[in-house]
Amino acid sequence: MDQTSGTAHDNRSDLHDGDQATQLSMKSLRDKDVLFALCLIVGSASTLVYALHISFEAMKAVNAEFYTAPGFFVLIIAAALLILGSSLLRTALRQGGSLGWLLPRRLVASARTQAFRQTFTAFAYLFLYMVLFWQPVPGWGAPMPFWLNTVLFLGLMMITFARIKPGYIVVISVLTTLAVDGSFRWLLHVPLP
Amino acid sequence: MVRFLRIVYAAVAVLAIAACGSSPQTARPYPVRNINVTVFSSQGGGSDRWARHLALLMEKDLGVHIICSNLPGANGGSGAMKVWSARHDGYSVLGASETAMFFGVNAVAPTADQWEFFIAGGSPGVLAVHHSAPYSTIQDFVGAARNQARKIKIGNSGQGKLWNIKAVQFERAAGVEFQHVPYNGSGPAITALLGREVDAVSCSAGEVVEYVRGGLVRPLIITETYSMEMEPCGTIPSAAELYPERAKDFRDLFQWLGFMMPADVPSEVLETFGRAFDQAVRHPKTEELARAEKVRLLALRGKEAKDMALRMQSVASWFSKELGLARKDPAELGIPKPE
Amino acid sequence: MDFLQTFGATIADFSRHSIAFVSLENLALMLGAVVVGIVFGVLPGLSATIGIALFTGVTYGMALDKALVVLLGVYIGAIYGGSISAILINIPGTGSAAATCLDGHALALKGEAGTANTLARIASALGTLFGMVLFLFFTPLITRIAIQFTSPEFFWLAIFGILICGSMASPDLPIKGWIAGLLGILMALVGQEDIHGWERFTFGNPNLINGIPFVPMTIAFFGIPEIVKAMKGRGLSVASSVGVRRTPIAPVIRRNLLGILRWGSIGVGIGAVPGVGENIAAWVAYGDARKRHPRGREFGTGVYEGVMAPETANNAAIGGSIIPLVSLGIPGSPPAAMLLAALMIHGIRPGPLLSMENPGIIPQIGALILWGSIFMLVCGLVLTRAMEALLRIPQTILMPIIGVLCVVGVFAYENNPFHLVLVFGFGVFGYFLDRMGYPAAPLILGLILGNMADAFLRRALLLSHGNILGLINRPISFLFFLACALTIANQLGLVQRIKAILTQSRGARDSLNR
Repeated sequence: MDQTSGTAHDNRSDLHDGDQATQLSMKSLRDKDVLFALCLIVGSASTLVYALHISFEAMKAVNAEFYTAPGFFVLIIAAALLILGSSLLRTALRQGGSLGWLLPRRLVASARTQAFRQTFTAFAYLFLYMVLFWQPVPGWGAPMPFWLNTVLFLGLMMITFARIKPGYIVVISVLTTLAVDGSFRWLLHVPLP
Repeated sequence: MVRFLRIVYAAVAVLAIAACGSSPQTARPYPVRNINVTVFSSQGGGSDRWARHLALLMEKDLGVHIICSNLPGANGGSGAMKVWSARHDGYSVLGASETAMFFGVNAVAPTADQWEFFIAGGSPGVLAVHHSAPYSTIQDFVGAARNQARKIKIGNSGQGKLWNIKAVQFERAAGVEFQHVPYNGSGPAITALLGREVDAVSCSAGEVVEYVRGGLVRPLIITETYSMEMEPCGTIPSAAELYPERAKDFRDLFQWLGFMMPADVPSEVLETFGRAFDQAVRHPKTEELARAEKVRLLALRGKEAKDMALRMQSVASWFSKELGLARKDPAELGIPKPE
Repeated sequence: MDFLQTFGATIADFSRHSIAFVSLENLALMLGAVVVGIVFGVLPGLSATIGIALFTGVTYGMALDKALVVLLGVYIGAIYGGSISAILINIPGTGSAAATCLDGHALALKGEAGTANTLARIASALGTLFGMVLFLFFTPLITRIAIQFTSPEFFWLAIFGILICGSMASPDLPIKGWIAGLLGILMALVGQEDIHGWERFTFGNPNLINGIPFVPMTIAFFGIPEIVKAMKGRGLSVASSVGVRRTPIAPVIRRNLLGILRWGSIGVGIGAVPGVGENIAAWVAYGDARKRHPRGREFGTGVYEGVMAPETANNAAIGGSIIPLVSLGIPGSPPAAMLLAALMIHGIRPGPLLSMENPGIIPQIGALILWGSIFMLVCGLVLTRAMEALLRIPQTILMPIIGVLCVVGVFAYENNPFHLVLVFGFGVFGYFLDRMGYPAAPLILGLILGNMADAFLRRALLLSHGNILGLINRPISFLFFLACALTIANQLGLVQRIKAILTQSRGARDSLNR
């Protein structure tokens, strides 16, 4: 990271998380690497088993050779991922990564930060928007109309995150909805709910 | 202020739901509004082109718009389930092809007995070789295959798909063994033939007709019960003439393009739609399209189409099982074994 | 002499068609088509393929030559338009612009969005024109080479792409680029495989039979993380200093003329290979630019060539992908496949006889491409100026709107609600990957190439009955194999080591001689 400081990366990624010292964020990266590397190792090992399983099943059921069996390429990729995962684990541990942050006490503490709350809320709104996009509303039997859903989503997002006057929020969300709905429905003939 | 806005939003939501929930239904003869055709494969394919072509002709007859959209996925199951889960009132129609015969064994949608079929026609299967190949007749080809088992490579559009099954049927009738090489669609398989990666390809006549005309590809046999003219190679014999004792195999499975609707759609709706369908298939424009794409028009619907579909489903399903591809056993689904 | 004669005749035909094009109706149609194409390109989820598909329906009733104007205009506009959103909001509007994100957005953050947009526009136009020239004069030759691509060649091409993705700039440890690429390949392997029709990783879900689609995934891995990250900002705009630094463009272009020829050739070549398309062309060109650039290590931090290379190549691939379409009826890329379908609807059946029966079609399409790229230059200038203002809008207002467009784009892709489920799930995954320093780009490239590498490897082995030599015993496959081997050797530092050993031994010999 050091050689790229002063370039785009520290603007773009939130790896540094604003004012926190680089040292700290490096440590937290490596901490997460340890967990992810363990996941990778477990995942790729089970993929290896799965690949062998489907390969032998296919060889039994139809006349497949090992080199044409469905698991052949999966096997190669899973093996490569296993090697890379182990290598990542080694690097992360060497650079001071640990799993201490997974202690319940510390997890709760990190869930109390504002950043976590904001991320969670943004995902929740997105999830809600996507679900309402096609799921029939209970007790009504049809999905919510696209325009209503969109106005709600935009409004919620901006009420929560943007610092502008409520009047603008209404204007922006209604205008956007009209533009998107109109152009997709009438110009492009894409059926929206 | 923010709290006020939230209340406004909630009020708008409730009002909108109330307004949309109470649209009255009047009983006028079908069709009173636009019909939606969901094509179960992606844009530009055979089923898509034909569904759109027929829909355009039927619009005039039915007096409403027919809007075609595509919903590929799950080997056609995504589109089929969209139509199936809509009201069975004739306003949701599936644009389909013979792939629908695999719905049951693929466990993606209801089996053929629960659908009603409108079959426009289909392009016959063909075995074709590269123009520089040393075989000028099907006899040469079979002779070469007999001498060297599993050495002659036949490309197809995918394992367990129609053209793969046609090639397997042919090799069984001829008593030889090919090396079957599956590709991701007929296009790549024909490309492989032009690059001489495979010795022959099994696909529809419509898909190779331009290469035949251009002299790059030579058709050897039509894998159907009828022969077909393909310029400049003259009449191409049919597999059924060559192996009359296996004619039934070639009869029961073939490509078709058309529409499907759930079988419990009111019968007068099926009749109205079907009459418009018949007219569209017999339209001169359709005949022109059929000539260009080497399609044999059938215009089947009602009991005739259903019987044919059931026969085809039984052949397709048991083949699927034999190739180890059936996600659901056809016996469990109550699909009889082909006689 | 014969060659010169056809050459002259082609030029004459081409100029005739270019001039005959000028009519009010044609110009208006082309203008509208290019603008719509650019908008399709800009909007995430709407790609060139979908644009052509939608307009196939719209042009159903038009005469063929007018329909061609619209369809080619949309094609050219859409492939270019993807770069605008890649540069401005770091979300590739089309898959082919994914490579442009890396350096394009980095430039925007440095306050050089204007420069990046101009470079992308000029590179796209030059690429399109280069593709047009090769299309006009070398269609028979390129077709003959493209048709030589059989399974081993496709396999090595995919491996080559994967190797490039492995060396892609990663913001943290270099190994993370490789891991992301491999994860992408694994995702590509979900669904029914091509050789035995066997299902992999579907766990009985019929929605997964046909695999994980790539267009929604670009939104999941580029779009969702950007949107969620923006909500944590303090309501700032992306760059408060849009276009403050305006670097003169001409010297940058002049410096890279040779590069443009090279990237254009990559684009045409890969575009002409049946079914591969502009996505891979952009990455291969990006990799090439990075390898040859004196400051190659700085790629990903805002290097001009990192914008120009992929944009030249993906637009050159338009001409490339039309080459086998016109000469053989085989589409070179997914949008070209859509174009093929549109031609068939208009009663033209492309095949080996097409250019013989309609001798005017090659110069006619060439003229349309020429006009399309001229319109693209002009419309692009106007539209990007307007869109650069987006960067000044606070992200907390802009990004929710982008979010709506992303979700609608996913839905419009195939009208499949299941894709929304996929996008949300992988969006969360993509967000965490991003936070942990994994680049999204190799993952997407892996997703594009994974299935191709798998199916063609096993098909090649099936055809050679398991003989590994069958993978390298043809001239093109052997060349590709060599290129892959050299790339790996270079990556592992073997080349430098061998060089060092050679110089050492020479030094030793010299000292002995002395």
